[in-house]
Amino acid sequence: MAMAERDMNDTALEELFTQARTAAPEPSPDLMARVMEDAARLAPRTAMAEARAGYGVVQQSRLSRVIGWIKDALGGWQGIGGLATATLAGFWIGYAGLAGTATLSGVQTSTETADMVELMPGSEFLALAWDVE
Amino acid sequence: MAFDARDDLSDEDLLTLYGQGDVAAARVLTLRLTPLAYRVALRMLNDAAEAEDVAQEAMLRLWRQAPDWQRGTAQVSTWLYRVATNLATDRLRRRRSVGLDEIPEPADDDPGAVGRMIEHDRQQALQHALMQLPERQRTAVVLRHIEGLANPEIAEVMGVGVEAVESLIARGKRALKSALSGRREELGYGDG
Repeated sequence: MAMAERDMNDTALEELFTQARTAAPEPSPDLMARVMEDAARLAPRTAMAEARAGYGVVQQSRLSRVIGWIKDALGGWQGIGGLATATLAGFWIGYAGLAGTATLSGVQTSTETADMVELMPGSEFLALAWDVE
Repeated sequence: MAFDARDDLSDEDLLTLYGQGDVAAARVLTLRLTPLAYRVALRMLNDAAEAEDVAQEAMLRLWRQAPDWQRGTAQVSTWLYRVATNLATDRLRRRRSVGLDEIPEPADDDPGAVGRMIEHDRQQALQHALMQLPERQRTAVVLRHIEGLANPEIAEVMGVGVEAVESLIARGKRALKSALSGRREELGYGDG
């Protein structure tokens, strides 16, 4: 009898199990963080692709904002068009001007030649006639 | 709102979502399943650091398995129990091979404060008695009486028949009672 009292019975053992279930040890926050990191790192590629696509959208919207600021600073699309035209014209003039120097001097030479053309042939005789009168 | 919706999904649905790239589903699974893997590993190993390593490795294998998970073949928790118990058993065998099989009385982190608590002493005694069981008896008893699994699920976890599980549990409990009997009064069961 004394031996039976010292024995652990089913009820006492079940009580120990119940306590073990209710006082279950919890994993540390560090372990939970490590597990989540693994999950993020090993996430199938579709998720990575979505993340990259999301990043691309952000980049695109930033680029759009910068373009918007430049457009406003230059007076809208008309301002940008005018600036572009002026820039192109400047380039063209700068480049084409070197090749056209001879042409321009040719025109000047013709003008000099034109100076020598007598617009009123015989005017000297006319002046002489007036002097005679 | 979306997080709440995931919270109501089954483990298998969440794992399928994660397999399709839904990392938020993995967060819910982490909160739900990591404690399970940690608990069973700690009961088997009696070492918090090793139990954390086992739990992390078991969850890592779950993430890797997600894209190839065959729906309807097994419960996710059953699969995880199997992986965690196998990993813990591997560690126990390695311990034995390096002469660490003799597990001392569980270390008490704060004996001054906790030592006065009889419930704590009882749990220490239970854990010590569990560590004296053969591995398979320990696994079966922990899964049945602490994790609360049904015998058919334990059979699936351990890869044996239900009758073998019943036998392991019966022998395990007998050994536990025997191990704890000498400490009955010490543990506050003297009057019963």
